[in-house]
Amino acid sequence: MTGLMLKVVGGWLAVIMAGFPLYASMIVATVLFLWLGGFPLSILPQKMAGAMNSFPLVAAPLFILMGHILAAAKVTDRIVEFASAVIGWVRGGYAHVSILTSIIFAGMVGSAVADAAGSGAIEIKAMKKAGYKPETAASITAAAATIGPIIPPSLPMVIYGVTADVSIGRLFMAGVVPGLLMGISLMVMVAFVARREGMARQTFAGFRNIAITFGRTFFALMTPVLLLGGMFSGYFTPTEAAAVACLWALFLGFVVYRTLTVKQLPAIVMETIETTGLVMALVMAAGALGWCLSVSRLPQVFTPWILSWVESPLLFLLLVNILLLIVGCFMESLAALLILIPILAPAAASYGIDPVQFGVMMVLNLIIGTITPPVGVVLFIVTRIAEVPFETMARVILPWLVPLLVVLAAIMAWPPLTLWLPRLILGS
Amino acid sequence: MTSISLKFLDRSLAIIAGAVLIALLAVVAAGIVSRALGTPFVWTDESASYLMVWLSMLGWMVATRRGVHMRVRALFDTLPIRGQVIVEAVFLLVIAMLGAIIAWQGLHLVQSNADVDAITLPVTLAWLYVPLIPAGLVMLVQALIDLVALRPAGGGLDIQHRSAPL
Repeated sequence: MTGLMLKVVGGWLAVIMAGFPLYASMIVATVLFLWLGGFPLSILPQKMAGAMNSFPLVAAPLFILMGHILAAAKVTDRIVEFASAVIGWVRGGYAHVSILTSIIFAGMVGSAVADAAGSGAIEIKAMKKAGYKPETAASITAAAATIGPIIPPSLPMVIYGVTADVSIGRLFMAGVVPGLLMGISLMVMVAFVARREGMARQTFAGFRNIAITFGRTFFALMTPVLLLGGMFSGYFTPTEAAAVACLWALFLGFVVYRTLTVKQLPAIVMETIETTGLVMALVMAAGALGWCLSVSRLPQVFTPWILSWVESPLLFLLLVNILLLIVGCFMESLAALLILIPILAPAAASYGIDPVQFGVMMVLNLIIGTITPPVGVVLFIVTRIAEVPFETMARVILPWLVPLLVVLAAIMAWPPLTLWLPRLILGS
Repeated sequence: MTSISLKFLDRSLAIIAGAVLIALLAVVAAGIVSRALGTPFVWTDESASYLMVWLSMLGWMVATRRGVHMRVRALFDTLPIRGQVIVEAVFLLVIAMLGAIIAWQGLHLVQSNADVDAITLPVTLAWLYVPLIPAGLVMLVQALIDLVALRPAGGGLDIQHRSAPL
């Protein structure tokens, strides 16, 4: 069976590279394995539906819905206003505002794309107006957007948790410290660049202004408090938190800020459904292929093989990170995540690496892949907003990867950065 | 005639999927409220999971109709237009076949689970597998429609696709 699976995996990678739709490539591989292995083909639809028959996974469409509601309600504009009052007055203030906005927004949405698309336009416009180079403004916005899926809630962590059978609540908590570190490391980088390039700052409008903008943004700022507080206190599960967050986002849009109209709802719902379909087609196809992988015992053969070559867990993690960074440059992060989890997660477990630490590391690495050229969805978005050539962006973004890679190396080398908070709150 | 049928299909998909999404939100919220009131409903988790299966399949159909599924285009785009057309035609034929397999095998699953009861809901397990049949059929029909419409436009093939919103 393992030999058959290896052949199927080889053919599968070939059709992916040829340009076959990713979800369909996984279904082809599953059909081939089932057919050649003498299994009934009914296993395919059974495992596809089975992969979706999961209460924790319900969090995914609900978090997507919340992101669309918040975007339509233009909640980000208010957060940018608050962040400007707090930090806009230091050197390179506009860039710091972009990062602080991303940190706050990360506690409300679970995706880097939602972050970049939601706050990117207003931030990049402000930075350009203040005399920042457009490509630098876009790079800072893109790098800051990667914090989105690291600080909870997080769409990729829901998918990792469901696929690798790891507690989503623990993964969420494990992302808090690395997410904050990403923000701090980017701010340190901005401080250096701002001094060198003489980046502009905003005028300090006084503490009274901070208090006023805080008051105006209060209900929006309560979103992460409600979400994280509810989850971390054990009052509701991540899935339930997603539902509460959707209702809260509707409350913000309709009652508090009155920026949302009933007319916008059909478009919000359809956007959510399309995005859910796009993501879930991959997740369900990966569920069927994952069953084939486990039946073929490929991970059980792969793990001792890699153990015989690499003894140190740290070296294993380093090799995994290099592999993920390369894959992330060329493949969609979600697809890479789903393809590699069934192979890499068992190997990591055999080294005694905590699945929560491994999950956060894998997600962070592949999210960095969303801003690395040539294939990076967040990079595409900011390039379009800033109206700069993609070739320029592909070059200018590179130094901004360094602070993120430093955080990645830190969480790889020092497990307490990810494991301390979940252990403190939920115990070991 | 075909375009009217497809419009009807798109509209029906949008209405049903919208209703399922709202129901999903309502069911999860009902679970929280009922627990807070001290009388937790036992059926909320299972019904949310069933609705999740339906929502995913409906979303999959919508994404298929809109032709936005993810793909790696780097090598494909380097092919000459004639090569692209041939490769895409083969892809579409394979996708049509996969759609037929999913719909046909989905039908078998529905039949074989028609007498297996759900745990907390007054329905059978077959309802989990019912949306596989239209999902497979939409995959099949859309691939055939795309195959018929397949022709080079401008600098290459006009193939839509979207990125994952991570």
